[in-house]
Amino acid sequence: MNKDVKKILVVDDEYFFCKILDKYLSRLGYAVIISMNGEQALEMIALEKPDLVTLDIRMPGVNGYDILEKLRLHQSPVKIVVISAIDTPEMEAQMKAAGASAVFLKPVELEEIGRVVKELIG
Amino acid sequence: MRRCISSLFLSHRSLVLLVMTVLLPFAWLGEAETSLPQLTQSELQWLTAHPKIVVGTVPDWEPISMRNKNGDLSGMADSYKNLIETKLPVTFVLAPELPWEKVLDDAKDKKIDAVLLLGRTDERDKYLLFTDVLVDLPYVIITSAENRSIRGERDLPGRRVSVRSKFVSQEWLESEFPDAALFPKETTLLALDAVLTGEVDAYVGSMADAVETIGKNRIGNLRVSARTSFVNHLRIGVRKDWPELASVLNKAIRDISPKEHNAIWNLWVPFHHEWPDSRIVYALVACLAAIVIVGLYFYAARLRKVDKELKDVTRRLTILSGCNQLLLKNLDEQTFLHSTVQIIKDLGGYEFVHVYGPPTATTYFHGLDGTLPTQETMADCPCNKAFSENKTVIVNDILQYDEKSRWRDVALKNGCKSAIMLPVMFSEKTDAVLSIYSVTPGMFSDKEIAILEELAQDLSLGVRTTRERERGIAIARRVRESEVGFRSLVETATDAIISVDSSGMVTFWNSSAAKMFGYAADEVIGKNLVVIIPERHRALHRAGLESVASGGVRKIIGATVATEGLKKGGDEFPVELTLATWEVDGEKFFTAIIRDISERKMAEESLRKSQEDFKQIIKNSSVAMALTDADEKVLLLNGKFVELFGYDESDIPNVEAWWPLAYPDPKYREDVKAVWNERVNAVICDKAVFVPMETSVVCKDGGKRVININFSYIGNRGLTVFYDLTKRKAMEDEILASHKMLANAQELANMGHWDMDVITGKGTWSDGSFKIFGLEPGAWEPTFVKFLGMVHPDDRKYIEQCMRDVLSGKLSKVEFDARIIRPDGQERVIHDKLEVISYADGKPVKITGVNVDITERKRYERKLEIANDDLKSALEEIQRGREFLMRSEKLASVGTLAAGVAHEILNPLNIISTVTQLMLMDERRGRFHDNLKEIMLQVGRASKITNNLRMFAREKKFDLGPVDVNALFDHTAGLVEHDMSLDNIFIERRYDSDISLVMADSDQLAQVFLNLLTNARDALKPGRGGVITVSTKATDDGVEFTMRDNGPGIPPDVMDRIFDPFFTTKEPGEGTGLGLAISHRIIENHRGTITVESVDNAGASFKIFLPKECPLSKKPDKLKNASLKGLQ
Repeated sequence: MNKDVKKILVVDDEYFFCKILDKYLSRLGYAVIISMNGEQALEMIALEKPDLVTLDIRMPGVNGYDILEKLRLHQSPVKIVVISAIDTPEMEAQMKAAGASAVFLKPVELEEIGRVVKELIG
Repeated sequence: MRRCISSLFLSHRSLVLLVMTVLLPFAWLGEAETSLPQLTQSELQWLTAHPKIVVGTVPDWEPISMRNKNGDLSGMADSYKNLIETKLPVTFVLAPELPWEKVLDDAKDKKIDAVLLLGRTDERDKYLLFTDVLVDLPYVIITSAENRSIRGERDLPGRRVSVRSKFVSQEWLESEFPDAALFPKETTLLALDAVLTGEVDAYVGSMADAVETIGKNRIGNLRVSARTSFVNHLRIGVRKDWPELASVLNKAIRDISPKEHNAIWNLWVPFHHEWPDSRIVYALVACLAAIVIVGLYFYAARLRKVDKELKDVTRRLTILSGCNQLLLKNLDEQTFLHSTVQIIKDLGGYEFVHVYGPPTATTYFHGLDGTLPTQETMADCPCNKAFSENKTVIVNDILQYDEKSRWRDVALKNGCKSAIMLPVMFSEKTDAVLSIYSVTPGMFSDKEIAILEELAQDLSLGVRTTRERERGIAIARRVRESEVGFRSLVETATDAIISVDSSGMVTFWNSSAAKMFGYAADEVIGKNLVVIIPERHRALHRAGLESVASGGVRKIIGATVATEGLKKGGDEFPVELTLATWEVDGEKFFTAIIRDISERKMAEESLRKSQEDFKQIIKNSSVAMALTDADEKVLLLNGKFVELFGYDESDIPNVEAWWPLAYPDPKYREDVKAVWNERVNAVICDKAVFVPMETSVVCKDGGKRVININFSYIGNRGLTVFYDLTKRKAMEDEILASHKMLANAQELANMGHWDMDVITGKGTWSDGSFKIFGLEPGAWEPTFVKFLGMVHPDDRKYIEQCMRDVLSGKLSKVEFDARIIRPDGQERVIHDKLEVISYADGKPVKITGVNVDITERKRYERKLEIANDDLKSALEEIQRGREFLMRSEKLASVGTLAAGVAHEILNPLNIISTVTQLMLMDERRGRFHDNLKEIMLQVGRASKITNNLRMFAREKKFDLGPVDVNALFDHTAGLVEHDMSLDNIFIERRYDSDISLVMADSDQLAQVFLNLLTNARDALKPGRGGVITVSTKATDDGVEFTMRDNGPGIPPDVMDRIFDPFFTTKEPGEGTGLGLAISHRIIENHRGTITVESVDNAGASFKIFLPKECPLSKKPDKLKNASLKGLQ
């Protein structure tokens, strides 16, 4: 596997959205892996060591916020981009405080995500 | 001689009249049989249908149309009426004689079918049809004899002219001579009188009626001054709707021959003045004249050669004829003399003719000119001889007369050769001398002298006649005037005035007599008076008459006696009769003045009867009465009196006996007597009204009665009336007591009553009314205005309106409440109920009312009202709270929903959006590009809406206020309790009623409760129901609230995450995972705490602590509204 190729983990309980991000980010030249629940996502972060994780917040079981907390607890260097439909006034600040690099609200602009991802991991 | 001349003057007209008068009726009869006018069938039918024609005539128009006393018609009108009746199968019925104007009015009203002999005018054409002309009547101007200034109609302007009223001449003068002042008169006589008295200058009328009237009434000193151009064409006027009659009459009129016309004319119009004895004179004159003429003609024939002689005769006759003509002209003395002198001179061919008075007279009677004779020639004038010797003096040759005579010189100087002096006797002696001078010597032959002597006699006669006539006229007028005066007096007298001669024949009967007895004057005049004397008095009447006639003196003469009269119908009636007697030429006459006294008799009778009635009334009256005479003697005590007091006439023969019986107490008696005497005197002497008095009378049985005594004085009798007041007194006391009770009752009830007279505005108030108004009873005389003055100014308008409604009759009853202000300034409320109790002409006249002080009631009402309002606002508050909670729950659920929905919707939107973005990336220029763009747009729109919804759910801000936690929870639970009960979930409350209020945002707190309740329900629902126990507890610094359910409880592994946001145990779509997180946050915001305990399978328990004072003392703002707006 080419070392220059950056790896992105897409976490979202919506399979179809995962596929779209996969397709788009792949086109931008990223290696995309997908996880559809929080527990698996944590495992894959540990195993695959992605450069960036797109993280949905509301998920059954371990949710996106739990994952953020955990990663911050483990001082994981992985960049987190939150992509969520939840919009509360506090949310963005809360997420960023929990270690998210960027927060996107659904529905998202793919190109915007692409730009931010590029900024974060090149 | 005079007779001969008269016959000459009268000429052939007299003969024609004579002949025609005799022959006319035969002429009519003869012609009537032979020449009936040809009438058509329809005309005959019409006449059959109208056999009687009512005709009117012109009144008092001699000789054209006049009536006698019986109303019979005469004059030309009568002649023509009779003539036409012979020519047509009609009968003319005469309408009664009426004034001319009335006749015309009746013709207008068709009460008269035709009017005989009247002229046609435009005015009359309106209501009458006119036949052909029957008579042409020329009109003349009549003036006084001296008036020579009117010589023709051209002299009429500016003059005063009398005419017959409503005659065509009046109309003619009005139109032709508007400048003449007209004086219409009812009769020709009045019109001529006006000329005589100088009221007018002239009379314009027909020659015929003027001459007739002058002659009949012996009027002198008038003359016909001139003819006028006016001719009155007399016709018959027929009512307008009867053209058939007009046409039939015309046929008859055309059938009248000129001969018949002339006969009628000559019958009525020739000169036949009522000269004194003239008819006899004329008759003789006519006969003699005929003889003389015949004789003369014989004489002339025999002496054909003696032409001169004949001429002389003709000349002398001419003179006499001319003079005689003057005699007939009714001239005054001066004119007569003057005219005679002129005629003798002109017709006799003499040089000078004079009439002069005696030598002692300072003036001549008349002379032709100033030359002969003069004053100085009179001394030796032969006329002196004629005066002194009373015989004719003839000087046949003046030349031979005494040469010294100055008279001779003057006469000769004037060419006179002979003279004759004839004495003229106006009275017993010679009053004047007629002297005639001729230029021919020996002029005065025997024959000449004879004729001239005759002439002088005529002159004497003429002057004498003139004088007599004038005296006669004056006397006649005086007599007429006095008679008119007497008649009018007698006729206007209301008493009957009847005169009888000694044989008892009625000679005078005035109109009152006619009215009284029912006989018209002509029915009784000439008949015996006994017709008006009742049978039983007749013998006495006859005896009386005989006794007076034979010289006896009857007591009845000059006295007034009462007797009875007999009316035409046989009714007797009482009369009062005064008799006088008078004598004329030895014959005794009686005049009775009779007065009908039936009315007086009746009045007397009715007075007697009414007095009897009066007594009866007193007797039968149900009121005690006593009748006394002027001496206070008792005349009558009625039954009621005896019944009431027990005293009868034997006890009380006079008033004096009454006093000690009725009033045994001497002192009381004197008092009563004094008052009685004073008041009775006032009635009798001053005609005052008796002032009733009340006394206590002792009856025969010793009982006492309260009596009201009234007294009146009728005629000269005193009527005393006694009203027993004993019972009434008792009743009055009772009424008084009940009044008192009413007053007490009203006082207790704070009530009053009043009444008001609408007209005066005044009324009475009960004591209660005064009390309500804070016034002393009877403080003032109550009026509406005063009442209104006490009413609160704001209420006055309303009360005035109420009163207006009542006074106008719109309402008969009104009730109102009003505020009044008592004199001490205290405000009270009264309730007034008023009602109209009497009306006059539909208008209220009396109003009564009741008023009640309702101040206290109003006060309680007000309190009740306030309490009610409080209750109402409390209820409203509850309602509001309920609504708020409902909203809160809705908000909560909407918030929850919004969050959930947003998530659920945004996720698919996100997918759609991103897929589309990918496709767009692939198809930058592809055929779906535009559609994809559109999808993006729509997604953007949908997400925006979703986000708005979500933002709303999120908006929560503080609105702090004191909150009763128990109540708030109750309100909140009330929203869901019912639904829960359906799921077998019940709420048990264990409140601590001592908890204090806490400062909180009730909306948010309610949302917390609601979230907890919702969670509890969700936990209990699967287990088929349960109980939620809520308890509160007061702590030192706040309130502790606990909610526990008996559900499955919370698994210990999630216990510490339960308040985390987005933590949910529910399936996606069922919860947001935010409910407890939000609740937690709200409680934290209140500086309170929320904790959870859970026993597995024994339920969960949430505990909330709220401090009393919330340090966040933010001003409450209206977020509730804001959120509602957001929702919309």
